[in-house]
Amino acid sequence: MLGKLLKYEIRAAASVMTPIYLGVLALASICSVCVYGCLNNPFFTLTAAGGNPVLGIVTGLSAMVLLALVLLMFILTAANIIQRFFVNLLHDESYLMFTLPVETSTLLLSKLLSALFYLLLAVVVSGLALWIVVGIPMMLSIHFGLGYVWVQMSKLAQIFAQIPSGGLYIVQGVIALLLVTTALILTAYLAMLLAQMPLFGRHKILAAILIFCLLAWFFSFISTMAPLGSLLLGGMMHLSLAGWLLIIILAGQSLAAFSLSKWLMAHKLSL
Amino acid sequence: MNTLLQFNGVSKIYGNKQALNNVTFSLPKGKIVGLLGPNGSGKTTIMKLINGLIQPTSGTVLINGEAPGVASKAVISYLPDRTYLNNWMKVRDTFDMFCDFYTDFDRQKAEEMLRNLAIDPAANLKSLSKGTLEKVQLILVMARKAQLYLLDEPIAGVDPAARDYILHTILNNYGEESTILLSTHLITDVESIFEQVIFVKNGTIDLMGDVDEIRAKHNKSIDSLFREVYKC
Repeated sequence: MLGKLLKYEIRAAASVMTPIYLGVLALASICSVCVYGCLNNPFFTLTAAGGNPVLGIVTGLSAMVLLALVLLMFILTAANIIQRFFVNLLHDESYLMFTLPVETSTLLLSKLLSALFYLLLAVVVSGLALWIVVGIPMMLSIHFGLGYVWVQMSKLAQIFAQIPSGGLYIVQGVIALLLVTTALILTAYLAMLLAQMPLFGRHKILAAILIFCLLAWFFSFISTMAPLGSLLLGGMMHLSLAGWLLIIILAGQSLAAFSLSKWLMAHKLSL
Repeated sequence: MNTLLQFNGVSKIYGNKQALNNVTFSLPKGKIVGLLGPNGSGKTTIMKLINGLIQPTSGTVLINGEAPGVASKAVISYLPDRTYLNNWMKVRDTFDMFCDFYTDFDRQKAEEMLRNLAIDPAANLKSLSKGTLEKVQLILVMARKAQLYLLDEPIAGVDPAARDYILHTILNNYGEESTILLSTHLITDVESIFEQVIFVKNGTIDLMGDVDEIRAKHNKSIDSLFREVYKC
């Protein structure tokens, strides 16, 4: 049933998000052509766009619009995550969703997984846009070329290889980032659910925002225990130990927010 | 076991408002039951409790001997008193969704009903009128071979022609073994289809029984009796 719920959940957001993704990539392509024009100018220097002010202005403007569009994409992704939960589970559509023969936890999990999917997609689209704007023109440029890009990347890899336990930090960083995002999404869900309680009357939106801020502050306060814990356990600031402690704390926060949200959905919602 | 639905001493309180007070009744399989009462009497609360959309403050609700859950939701077909479809969908997407989640959904029957009403399956739900959306919902609900149909005010706010169509659809699409619980405060149009009625007043069951027996006992129609019981 989770797969079926995810299918509809992802399709629901696709109609809103797909045009934004295409817009970002299209603008990145325009930007890329401008950057290529600048780089391929025989008079190109690192400080000026080859003496062509029009090309320089167009490149700068398109880069600014692209940056704004990327920001908009992330804002819309976050808004869409909140809107889907509210409309689908706390408004009229909830009469259908809560009468489907699926467990409450499956409903909640489908919302979380689709939210993570769209956030990840936004990151991938941003990365792709950066590659189109910077990477491709550099690879094709008469001044830089594929060899130059390859050498720079190899240098970066060599610098990274010199950091002890660098690979471990990357793994920890990715897990922690994923868990921070999960905890934040679940905190938003929990705040929206708590705001539905009769205590808050008609001020549900204000209550949800306040509860979210309070919960986020509380969770971030608990997360600061990670370096403190590693200091106590390791006897000194031990980076990898702090990383693992942070991961455990974030996983605990996510689990607590998920369990409480599930309980509220099953027992306390007044639809 | 002939009992399909059982309410045992069920009470429901919203904040400081008592919506239901110690309600006890049971419904057998294969009956058309009218849940009658004025607005705010507790009819929708009873429907929501059966669906598990809300939890009772005290007492128990049982469907086929079990509390509302995944198993009961698979055998209950619910038509709420509002539009509950995801508005990003097309009509055919809603059919796909019901096919995916309800094994008892008869797609062929649903498409036939849609054709009879000349509704385009490719139409966006957003573009449909409220009346057409209600018809799509009724088709979705009645195209299931459910054990229990919960129809919450299906004829409220519709014109007489649509009212006839709705009643026709309900009567022609439910199985003999199924039970229909239909809530309404418009008795005249539906009295003839009921086999049993439940009168709800201020969150309690005021009267319940077989329609023919009630008519014989009070020597008046259900509609007349309703007007007498709920006289302002």
